[in-house]
Amino acid sequence: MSKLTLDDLRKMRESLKIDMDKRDSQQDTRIVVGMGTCGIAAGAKKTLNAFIDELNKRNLKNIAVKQTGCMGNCNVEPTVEIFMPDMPTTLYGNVTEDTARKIIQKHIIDKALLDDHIQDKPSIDIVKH
Amino acid sequence: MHLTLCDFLSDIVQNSIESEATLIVVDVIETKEKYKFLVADNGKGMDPKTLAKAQDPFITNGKKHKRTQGLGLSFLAQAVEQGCGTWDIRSEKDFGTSVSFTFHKSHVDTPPLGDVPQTMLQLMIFDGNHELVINRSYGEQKYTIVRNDLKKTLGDLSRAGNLMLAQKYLISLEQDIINL
Repeated sequence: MSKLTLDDLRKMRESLKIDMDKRDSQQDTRIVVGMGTCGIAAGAKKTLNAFIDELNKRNLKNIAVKQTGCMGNCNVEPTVEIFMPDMPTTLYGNVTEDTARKIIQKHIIDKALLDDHIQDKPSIDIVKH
Repeated sequence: MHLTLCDFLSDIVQNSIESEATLIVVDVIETKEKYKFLVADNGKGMDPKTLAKAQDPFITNGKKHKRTQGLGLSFLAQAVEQGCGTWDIRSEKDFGTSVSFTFHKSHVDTPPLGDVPQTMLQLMIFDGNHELVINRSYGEQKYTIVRNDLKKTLGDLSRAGNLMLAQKYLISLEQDIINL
């Protein structure tokens, strides 16, 4: 691949924009990956990458992928929280690259939970003190 | 424990982002013999007492999102010790913090560099209005990425479509200096 400039990038963005404007229903869906020390050590960067890759493969280009610090579930990193309409906000643990792809298929597309990976949030006193 | 040098970098930069910095400058310098990383921010900084505590793996300020202050630096210190590298942290309260670390490529215990463009993407897409400038050099070759330029060009940096474009852009820059 030859070196891209910001201008090239702008052109690529413009051709994508038409595509992205059509899909407003995705705007409220948010995938948040825990990227604290614990997340990074457990391979959360690969998880993040898998989400970006899979969303683009399935043309879900308007879904937001975000990061946060430690969510308090260091024992089951990488952790991922999914916010979307018509589904409860869900925290998943042990989200490897494969699981990330499964989450997109099952949770986001089929609107069903992945029972094996659901986590409880730590109680408030652990997070705050 | 972190696998790659880029993982240490992510950890340190995340501290900067969480320190309410408005400007963060990162240098990733690679020569034939060495890797050198520099992270400087204008965030809230630390007084000497907090700075000493920050290097203790068993101390954290305990609030959500602040836990990395304990473990991240200890991980770095341990890796540096194993790989005979160097590291340094300087901080001034209400002025900012800078962290630098170097590793010799030839040392058997130096961690692998890791995926540079992927790490840059991950750093660029952290939420917030801060400016982040990354200078990457490989011998004589170099490039610079400016977060605000990327945002102006692509718009919302969290949308999957934009992330894919940003990724392509960053990979092309890295390949350009590596493959010469």
